[in-house]
Amino acid sequence: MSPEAFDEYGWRIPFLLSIIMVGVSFLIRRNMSESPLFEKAKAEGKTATNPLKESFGNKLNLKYVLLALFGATMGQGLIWYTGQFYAQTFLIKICNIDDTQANTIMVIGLLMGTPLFIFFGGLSDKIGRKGIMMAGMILGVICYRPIFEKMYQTVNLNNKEIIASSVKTVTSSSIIQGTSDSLLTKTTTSEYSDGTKYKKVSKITLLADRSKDAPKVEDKITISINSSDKWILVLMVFFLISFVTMAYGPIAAFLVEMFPTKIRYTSMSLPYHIGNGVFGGLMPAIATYLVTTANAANQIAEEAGNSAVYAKPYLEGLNYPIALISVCIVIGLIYIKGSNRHMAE
Amino acid sequence: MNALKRILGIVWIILGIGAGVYLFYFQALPLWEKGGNDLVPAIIYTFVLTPLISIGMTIFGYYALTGEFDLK
Repeated sequence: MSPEAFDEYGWRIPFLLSIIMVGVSFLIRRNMSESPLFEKAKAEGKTATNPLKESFGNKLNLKYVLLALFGATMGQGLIWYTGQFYAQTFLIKICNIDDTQANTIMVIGLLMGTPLFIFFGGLSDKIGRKGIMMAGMILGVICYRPIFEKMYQTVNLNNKEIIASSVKTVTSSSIIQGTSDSLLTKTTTSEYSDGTKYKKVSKITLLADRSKDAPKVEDKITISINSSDKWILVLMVFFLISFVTMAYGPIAAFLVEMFPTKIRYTSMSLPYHIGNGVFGGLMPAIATYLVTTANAANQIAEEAGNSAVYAKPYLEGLNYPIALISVCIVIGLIYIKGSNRHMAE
Repeated sequence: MNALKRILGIVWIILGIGAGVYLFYFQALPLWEKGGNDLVPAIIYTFVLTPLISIGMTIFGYYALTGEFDLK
């Protein structure tokens, strides 16, 4: 599918295909019985009449909602989004790897890591949930910088030897439709001794009215890496996904066990969705923003003749997940009990 | 352990208030002043992250300080 066709209608296809999954989940849910505990509570008339009020108006429950959020789901959401989504953003936007190659790396890494969700979920049934979740978060905090550094350096062209004769520059120009302005497109390609290919397309708008400020030059860099580098990146993504599986595999059962039956779903829903949707969901955007800001600060310093403000601006985005996951680990380790609170009711 | 939980409650309260001040004054406010494309992160900082982290963490710290999380 061409990029134009994808922009036009292609992006809708996965959403349309999800109708099948909605149907499957509906069938599963329809044929599924309620848990014995909920059935019992329902039969005894002990289900909540106003679960929202009971979850958040009741101090006893609110404190557990906050504990679940700051001691578990915040870190789990960040681990998930850093490993699964920011890794992709990092490969495409910061390492400038070709979109198709980056997505292939992500798919292979994810497929390799997916069985670990079941493994760690099952293991948590035997040895407890908290230890596995905390281990995944601790590994994330310790390993994020080395892993992302390795990913960056694997693609970094400064570490590769350019083939001087391969450098080619092609320039073309066209009139922008409906205006008398013209668009100058400069395409530079080069190859490296290890098989890496580099392409830079610069789009320069030349205004007919020279008195106006010219728009900023748009540069798009695409790097195609060789097979061995690709497998190094797959391995790095696999490591990231394995941390995700440790934090995510046991989380559903962990939250279920944390709240009493009558308000269970309402109470676990809020910390889960804030942890994943807000703390995790905003992670790629915030991290990319932090990297962009660090790069801009370095550029300003360079232009002023000063040394760079940030030694590794491409890793600045990791400060957000590392800081919040660290807080989550401390709260989780000190405040959350290893045993289940409400399973004996 | 209960004493540690309570002492850390003070840390969470300070962290909550500190995070609120930092996120609003040092992150959100300059972005509001810049405007343009920076309005999106400004809105996120002001209306989502700041209240959530600041208020949530402060209440959590208060509960910890008052012994709500003590093991009986």
